[in-house]
Amino acid sequence: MKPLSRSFRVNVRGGVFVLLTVAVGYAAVHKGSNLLFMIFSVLAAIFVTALALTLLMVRRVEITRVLPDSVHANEPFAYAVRVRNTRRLLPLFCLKVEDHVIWDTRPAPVQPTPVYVPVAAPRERVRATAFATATQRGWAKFASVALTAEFPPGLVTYRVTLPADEQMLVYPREGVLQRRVLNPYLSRVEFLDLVATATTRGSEDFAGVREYRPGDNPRWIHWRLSARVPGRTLLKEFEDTRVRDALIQLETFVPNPADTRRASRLERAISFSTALAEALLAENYLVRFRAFTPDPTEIVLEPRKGAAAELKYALATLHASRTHPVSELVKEADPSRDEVYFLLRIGDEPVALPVPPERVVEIHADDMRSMMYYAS
Amino acid sequence: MDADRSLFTPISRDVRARAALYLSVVLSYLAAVQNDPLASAMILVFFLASLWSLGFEHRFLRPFFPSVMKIGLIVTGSVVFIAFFLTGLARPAETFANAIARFLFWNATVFVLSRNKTEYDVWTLGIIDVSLFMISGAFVQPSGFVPLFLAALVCALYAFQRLALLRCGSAGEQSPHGPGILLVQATLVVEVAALVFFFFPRQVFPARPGGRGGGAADEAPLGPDVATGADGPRRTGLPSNPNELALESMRGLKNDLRVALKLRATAASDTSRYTPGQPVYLRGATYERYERGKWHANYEPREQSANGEGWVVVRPDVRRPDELHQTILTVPAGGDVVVCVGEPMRFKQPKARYDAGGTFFFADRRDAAVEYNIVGAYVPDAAERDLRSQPPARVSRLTELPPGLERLRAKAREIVARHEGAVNRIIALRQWLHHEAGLAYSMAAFSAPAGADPVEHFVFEKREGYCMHFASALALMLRAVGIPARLVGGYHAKDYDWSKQEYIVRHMDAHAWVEVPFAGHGWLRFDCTPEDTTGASKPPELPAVPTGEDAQKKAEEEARRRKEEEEKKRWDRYLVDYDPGAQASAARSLFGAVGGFLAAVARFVAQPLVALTVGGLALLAFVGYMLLPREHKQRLRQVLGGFRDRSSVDFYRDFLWLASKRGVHKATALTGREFAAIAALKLPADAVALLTDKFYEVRYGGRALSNEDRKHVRRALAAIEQSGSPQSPVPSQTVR
Repeated sequence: MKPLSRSFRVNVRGGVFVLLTVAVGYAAVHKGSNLLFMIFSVLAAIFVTALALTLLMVRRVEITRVLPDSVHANEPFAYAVRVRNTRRLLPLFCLKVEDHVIWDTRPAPVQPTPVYVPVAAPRERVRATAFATATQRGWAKFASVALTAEFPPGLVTYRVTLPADEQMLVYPREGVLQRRVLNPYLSRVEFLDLVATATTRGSEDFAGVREYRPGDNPRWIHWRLSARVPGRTLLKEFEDTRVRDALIQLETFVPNPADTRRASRLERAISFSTALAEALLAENYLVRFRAFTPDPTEIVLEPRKGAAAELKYALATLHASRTHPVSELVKEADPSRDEVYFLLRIGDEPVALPVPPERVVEIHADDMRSMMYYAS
Repeated sequence: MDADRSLFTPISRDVRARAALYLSVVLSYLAAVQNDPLASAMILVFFLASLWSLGFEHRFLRPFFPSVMKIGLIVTGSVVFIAFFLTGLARPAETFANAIARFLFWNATVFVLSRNKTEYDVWTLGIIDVSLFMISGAFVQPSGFVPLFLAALVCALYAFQRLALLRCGSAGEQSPHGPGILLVQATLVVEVAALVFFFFPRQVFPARPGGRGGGAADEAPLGPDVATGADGPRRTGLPSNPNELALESMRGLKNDLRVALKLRATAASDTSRYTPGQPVYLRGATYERYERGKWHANYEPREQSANGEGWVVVRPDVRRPDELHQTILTVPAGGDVVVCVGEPMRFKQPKARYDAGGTFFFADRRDAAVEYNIVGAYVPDAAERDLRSQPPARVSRLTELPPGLERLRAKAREIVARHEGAVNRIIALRQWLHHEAGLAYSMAAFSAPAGADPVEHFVFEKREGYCMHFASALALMLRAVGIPARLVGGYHAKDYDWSKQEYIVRHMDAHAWVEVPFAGHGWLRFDCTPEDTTGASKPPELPAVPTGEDAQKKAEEEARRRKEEEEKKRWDRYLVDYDPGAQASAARSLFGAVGGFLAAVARFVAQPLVALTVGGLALLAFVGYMLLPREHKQRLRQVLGGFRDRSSVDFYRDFLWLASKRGVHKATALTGREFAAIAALKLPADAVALLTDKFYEVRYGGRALSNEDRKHVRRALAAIEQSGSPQSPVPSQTVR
């Protein structure tokens, strides 16, 4: 593998050492003492040997990474770096491995921690752990890996940068929804829905029993079971197996890329939409997600385990739209459909909604602060 | 490995690194110290400090030894050393070397005591190591230098290796490959150092004439320091104008450690009282007239030519039993006065000038280095006893005193009033100046008030001075009581290199004393400078003479002595005396040996019978190889190739890695066959099967991969690699 770059330099210690060697050499020449010449020879030999072994240390070394399955933005993570010494005789000694991570063609503000490999025998493969933090969602590109060697006593530094392209997807920052805040919204829009469908309790699947609490409907007391357990009153619980629909529309309109306020609102809204979708899926909703990413995108999520993965992938790679304002987004909403409509706003512009206001839950990014907290 | 990170890597966690480092410091101190009465105490203190550092230091949560105290102790050591140096106690070379070694070792002890040692401390101790060995190489040159140096080198390399491991996050645990790496590095260092030592182009740096090791006649001219005035830059060597010597002229030389000359002396007869190794006086210029702080000479040298044997002989009628044959090797002198031990008798030069006062001059001014042979009449101090009945020779101009000096005259007369005879009076005056007057030796700057004579000011007011003051005072007081005397400038040589059997004379050995002429004895020396600082009257340490041993013991001793001599010869030949000439000779020998060997091989092969035999054997081997079964061929290739990849199953690891990148992970519980069955569902089944089979063959069948197998394996891996793109969004986990 052809290195991208090589750098070789005599470091501070090496500079001091060279000065010392020159001083001893001068004294030896000036004095004419062979014992001083011997000291000079040994010092020079130490330098030459350190130089040669340092150059040898980075030769015939294989580096591979084992990246984690999933990473969320702002969440520290660890990954393995495997170093294999393919030399037949010479052990590997004191090697530093540094990854260089790029986000959107720019170096990541926080690079992974360097990995130190103290010793690896000939043909041995050792594994070390590097730690990193993904500061933003999207594709993190592990562009290159730099190997730095300083054979003791560490007089010269030899650094070789090898190409080692690998990508890792960083999901949006993981948010946790405050259910106490969300539930009133759901109740408001579901009230109409319940009236319209006139669904009665009991048509759901029996899920189990629990202790009776004051306020519960006595109708659902499990009398037979309560009779078997003296002193306790047990209540039937039912699982709502109905599948209801929800639509989440996310505004991604950031006309000015330099508008950091709006961009940060978008990031918050992305995390919120993920959390909201997961919460709705857990409530057995069928969720439709629509946004300009910047192309019009619609994802339908069925209430099953792992359904949010597709949404997370889309949100991880989402780019803000510069041409599609929120008005275009709301046009896509179908008033005839019987679904709970969430509109996640990042802008302050007024917008005319095509559905009755009582069926819409419009949440602004500023309000999301109180409705969600970050896991990390 | 960044500077800021590594510079402050604490090595307090690694006991082994510190122990190795401390040992290297002790070894370097042992190499540098020479006859130091404090050495044992210093080493004991260091040993206790090391014990503390290695065994107990870490038990304290807080730094037991704060940095302020560390700096304070270093400053204290520096102040003590500087005071020691300024007071003149470190003046002789040996003492000076011991003082520096002590100072460095003290600082090392302070670093050992300090807590939270960082890489900075390691480097400091390493530099102290090198400095101590430099002192050893420059001044002491012990015979055990090489083993001590190599041992310290290995210890230091080990310490630096541990330090590098610490820098990589290895917190002092055992490293199984550390000793091997250390061995490789130490061997490489020694090999490269030997190459550098023997083939360093010393001719490029013509440091010194003569080319002898050990800092022979390399540094500077010799002789009393005499300012040349306006005729050029100030020199430290033979005076370009030897007719004048000021009282303060020698002061500049007293701190100059450079070697001025080397002297090899051999007694002409067994009856000589010269003992090698005892301090000797090398006489240079002599001065007869004193005027207010300056001595003047009135040389009238006559040019003389050598006789048929190449000697310039000044007293052909005299052959004294105490003649000392001397070979003196000096450096660019810039003067023409010849120094030698005793009164010069013969001087081996084609031409020379000789003054009747007993001083030889070169025929012309010598600006280049010179090695000369001279014979002098050696007169030890013990000759005084023979002079009791001898009056000094009458030389009228040597009793002249300048006007004034009344107090000095009166004091001299008062001292000798109780003594009869010239010798007793000389001794009385010398004793008075030496002990009774309470005068002190000092190198402090001296200046007499206007109008006062510097010598009188020294004796009666200042009461401290150095050899020039003492010698001047004695000479003038002798003259005051009618005894002829003159002042002599030269060297008092005390350092004797027993390995080379020669005196090493440094500029700081410059000295002044008094000579008095005695009929039939010539010029006899009297030195009244305090003995404890110059060692002027220090009794010679005579070598012990074995007596009463039986023959076998003597034979054993003789054998041991010869062995030591042989070792010394080797030491001298390959190390101490190694010079550009020897270097060229070694290179010639090396290339000659290689060339000779190649020529011999060529000649041998060129013989028809040999050529036929070699060719036939080669042909036989080739045919035999071709007839070998395939497996045996492979085996042979592996043997010849050093069993390359004989039992390596790395290809299987690569396969697992590729599979995991494609979403097929091998659980630990799965066997290879089970995993192959699963992997074949997603990956090329043929490739998976082949790799699994080969893995079983190598791993459990003990069969090496043949070249053909390797090709198949490579193809199979390539097939798997091309079978599908790696799972980018969800990177794989480890395959182990």
